[in-house]
Amino acid sequence: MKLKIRHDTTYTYDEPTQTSIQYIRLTPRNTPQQRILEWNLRTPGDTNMMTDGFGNQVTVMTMDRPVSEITLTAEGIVDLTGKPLTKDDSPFPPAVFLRPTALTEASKPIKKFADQFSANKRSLVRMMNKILERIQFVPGATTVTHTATEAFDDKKGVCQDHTHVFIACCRYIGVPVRYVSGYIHTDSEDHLATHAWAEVWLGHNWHTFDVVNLLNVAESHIKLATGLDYLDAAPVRGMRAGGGAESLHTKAWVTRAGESQ
Amino acid sequence: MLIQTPAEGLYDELFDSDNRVRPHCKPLENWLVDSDEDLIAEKRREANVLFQRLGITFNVYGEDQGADRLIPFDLIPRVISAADWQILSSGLRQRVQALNRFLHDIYHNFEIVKAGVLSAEQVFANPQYQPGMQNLKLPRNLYSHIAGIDLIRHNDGDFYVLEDNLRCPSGVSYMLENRRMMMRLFPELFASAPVAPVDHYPALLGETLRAASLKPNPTVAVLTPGRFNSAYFEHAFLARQMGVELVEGADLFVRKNRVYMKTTVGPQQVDVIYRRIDDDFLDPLAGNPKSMLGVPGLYAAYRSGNVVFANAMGTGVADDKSIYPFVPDMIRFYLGEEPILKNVPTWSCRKPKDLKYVLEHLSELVVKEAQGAGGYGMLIGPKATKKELSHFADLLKAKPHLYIAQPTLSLSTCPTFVEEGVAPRHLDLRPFVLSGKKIQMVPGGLTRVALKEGSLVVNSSQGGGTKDTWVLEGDPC
Repeated sequence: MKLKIRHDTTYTYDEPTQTSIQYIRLTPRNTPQQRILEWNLRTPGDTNMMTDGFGNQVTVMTMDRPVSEITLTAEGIVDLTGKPLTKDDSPFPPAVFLRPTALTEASKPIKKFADQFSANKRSLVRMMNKILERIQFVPGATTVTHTATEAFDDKKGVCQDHTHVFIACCRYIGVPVRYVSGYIHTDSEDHLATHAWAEVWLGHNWHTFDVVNLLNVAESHIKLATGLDYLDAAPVRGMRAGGGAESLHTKAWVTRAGESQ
Repeated sequence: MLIQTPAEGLYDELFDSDNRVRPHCKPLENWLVDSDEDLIAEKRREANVLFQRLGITFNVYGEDQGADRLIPFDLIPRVISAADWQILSSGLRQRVQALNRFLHDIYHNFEIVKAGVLSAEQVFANPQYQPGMQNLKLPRNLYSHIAGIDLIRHNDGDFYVLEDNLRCPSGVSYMLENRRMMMRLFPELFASAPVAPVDHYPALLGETLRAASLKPNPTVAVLTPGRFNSAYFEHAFLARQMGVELVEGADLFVRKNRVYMKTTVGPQQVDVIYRRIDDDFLDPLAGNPKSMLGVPGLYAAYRSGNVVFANAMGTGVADDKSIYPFVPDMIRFYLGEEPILKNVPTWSCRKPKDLKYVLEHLSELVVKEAQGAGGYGMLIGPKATKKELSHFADLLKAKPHLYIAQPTLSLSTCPTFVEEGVAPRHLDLRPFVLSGKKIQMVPGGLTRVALKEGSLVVNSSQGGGTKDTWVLEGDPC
């Protein structure tokens, strides 16, 4: 299936920034599951490339002139092959993905919840369902610094929060699991096209766990970056001098190539 | 002056088991015996004033900011014979070489895990393993350019490695200042014994740091968290001694994946950063997003090979206490040699069998956190109260994987000035091993001494002091 992606990210500042620097993970890689037919990332600053430890392609952008707005546009066509995940796509052994991070630390309530499940696919599918039952999908309910613990207690969040809770549970019961950021194609209009899900290592292979969509196949998922949690795979992490308050607006479209938007 | 002889069964650095002075310590002992008590008391006061004036103070974590204290300095040197240093230095070279090989391996091909010497989980799930280091090519495959190896001498007379410090080992400024102080106070003493010099350490460190980059004439800078850090004095001291810039995060910036230092004549590219900031704080865009100490973009410059950190990111996995028991195996695996220096036998509480043994013998053992520094989360079984023992037993049962246990080794003693005169006190030794084009070290190190009678805790944050460390260039026949 060929998918066409367009993703605009706009930061608006109350007053002009002096300088800024961003790590941008908006460039998908070729994998057995996805072939990048066309890709283009437009930014207003100077850019250099970097490959991080997880193998993600990172664009490092710096801006030294005063601006009151920064817009990043990622655009391209990706062919999803429908092939299942293979075991050899990580630069290191899956055990790396066993360690908790600040965002995915398992609190007492999370541990109590996770204790009901075990390290096999059927049980983890049940866990995924229970997480979605507990944590309501509410767009805009949380910020990027929200931890698994907070999301679990607040009982609401976005895909990132569901994924963090799922990750916290898996690691607690000894299952290696990684965070994936990317895009998803759905037919429903109100769904966000930017997305996050998890991949779980069960003995011989990685398995997709898309908590928000209760999916175990990545048939409509385009992968941008992977890591231990959101911070490793974030589409954009930046710092700036000046600029005052900031507002962020993102919009992404994923459509079948050949269709009109 | 009268020197109190050591307790029976302990190894003393000055006296042998029959309370005879060890031949290589004879000049020191003569000096001590001949010295007048009042004169020594006077010299101790002088040393205090000088250290205060130099500003060699430190502050203890958890105490009031700015409450600088002096680390007590003891006037009686600790003497290491030329023969002992010969063994120590070759053992240290061997150990640090294997540790660097290990670090390169676990960030590239994982040979040691594939061979089954260590389990994947032990290495890769360790919170000190930095996934961000994976497949990064470093000049000369060096990770720990500066290593501080903590050793003790047991009552069998052998040195044992207590722990490896491969991140930002500190204390070398005390080694240097202690020697300067002794030479200033007692110049005549150095005429009587062939003490090997240590004052070329900053030159060797500079050479090592320049060798960390493959660029000709690289620019080196020392990156400090700032003046509130307990080791700030040392950062400033070493930068000054090497003649390189001392910078804070705000003095650096990154453009085009290169690191620049702001100077009065414009930006200057920095090639090697001797950083005294923890991994997680180096770059807020890669590590802790709240870090104000680091430089945004630094990680990208590092990954792109445009700057070298000394030490590398991710060295902490090799000095973790849970990895420590395997260092002798690393030496065999990478170098095909038998370890020259001994490791302290260690029980990993993550293993049920080891945990059972530890709980049964808690009152005889030292229990430490597998990750931790500063001697805070520690139980010394033979000195613990019943309450402390049961508290630690609970901790162990709750989270066994966080702890390791070792037998209580009897640290050797050395005569030390205390309230009641000159009496034996326990000590350890931290030599500094520099890895560049070759492995180098100055003959000596930092000797830390537990000033409380019978105490085995030498950490300066817990009331320990320091001594000048003498390595002799030759031993008496």
